[in-house]
Amino acid sequence: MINNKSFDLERVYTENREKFIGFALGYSVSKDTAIDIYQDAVVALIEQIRKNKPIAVKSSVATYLFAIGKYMLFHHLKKEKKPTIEIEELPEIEWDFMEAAQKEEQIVLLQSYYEKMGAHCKKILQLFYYEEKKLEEIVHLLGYENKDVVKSQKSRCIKQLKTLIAEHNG
Amino acid sequence: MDEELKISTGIHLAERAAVKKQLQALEASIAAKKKRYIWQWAAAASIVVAALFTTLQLLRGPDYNALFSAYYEPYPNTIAPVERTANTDTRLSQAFAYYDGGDYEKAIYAFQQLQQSDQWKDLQLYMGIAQMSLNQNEAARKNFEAAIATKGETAPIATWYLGLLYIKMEQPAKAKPLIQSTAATDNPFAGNAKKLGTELGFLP
Repeated sequence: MINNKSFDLERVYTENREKFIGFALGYSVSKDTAIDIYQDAVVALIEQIRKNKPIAVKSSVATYLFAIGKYMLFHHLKKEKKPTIEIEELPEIEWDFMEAAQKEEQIVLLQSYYEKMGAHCKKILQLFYYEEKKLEEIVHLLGYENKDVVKSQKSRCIKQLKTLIAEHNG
Repeated sequence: MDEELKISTGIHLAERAAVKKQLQALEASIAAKKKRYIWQWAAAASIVVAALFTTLQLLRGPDYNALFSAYYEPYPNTIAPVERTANTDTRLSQAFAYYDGGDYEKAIYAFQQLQQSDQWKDLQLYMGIAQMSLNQNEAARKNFEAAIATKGETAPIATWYLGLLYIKMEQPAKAKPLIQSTAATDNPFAGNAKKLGTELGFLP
């Protein structure tokens, strides 16, 4: 199974790019759209790897990337309601596009202030929420004494984030 | 949506946006690399085309027709100029009137009528030039050679014209000694012979 360390983003991106874009163009999307969807697929792949999801148990990285890309392409075509295109059944992929959330003002603010946070807080929140690491793992990864320290540090960071948003709203 | 989920969603969206930004930069570098590759390919292709063209030119050799046209001009009439005296042979004057007027067919016929005259050995040069102008190359060659053989005043001039005739006939090996000889002697065409000889690689 591949992990964060063994994953070469540039190589994976370049090696699978032409094949996927060629496939997507067959569905009458523009090249820019095809590239955009491919990039979203790579984003999803990276997320799965960071979360240590077992993507490579049954399939190779390329197969997974193609499957998630196909899923995203069909999702895009459905949204566009292109009646002339016969869409195959969607591949069985678990992926939350978070489309509704992207329109929520509070989430947009959260996203924006998270990006502005200090590196330390950002790392803890990234590991906990994005990579879904357990507190014990974060202790090990960031060299804390124990998980209680991580817990209180995480709480401080969230408080900081909330304060920033409150100040914005206030 | 509870608060914890909102935080998680916000962070997910931020992390996804960061990775996407990284991929967009990577995409831009791929596009730039492709563009560079296309330019390099085009440059390499033009070098190949230029090399092929040069090789073809070398294989085809010099453009003898163009060289002939560049260097050839009829030799001026120095035997019977228009300002002739009353004693001038009218047949000779008529022949040169045709020659000067570029009516080479009539000039050739008129020159042929003067074969028994004293001036025939000089007239062979003009006869050759008139024939060369009408593409009667073999006849022209014979007249130039005859003029050279007389070793008279027209011999070095005939040497130059015979050299040019061989250029016209695309026989550079035969033209070479004639052009070299013209370049080496004192005659009105020595300068042109040097230039032509250099262009053809006959002279250093």
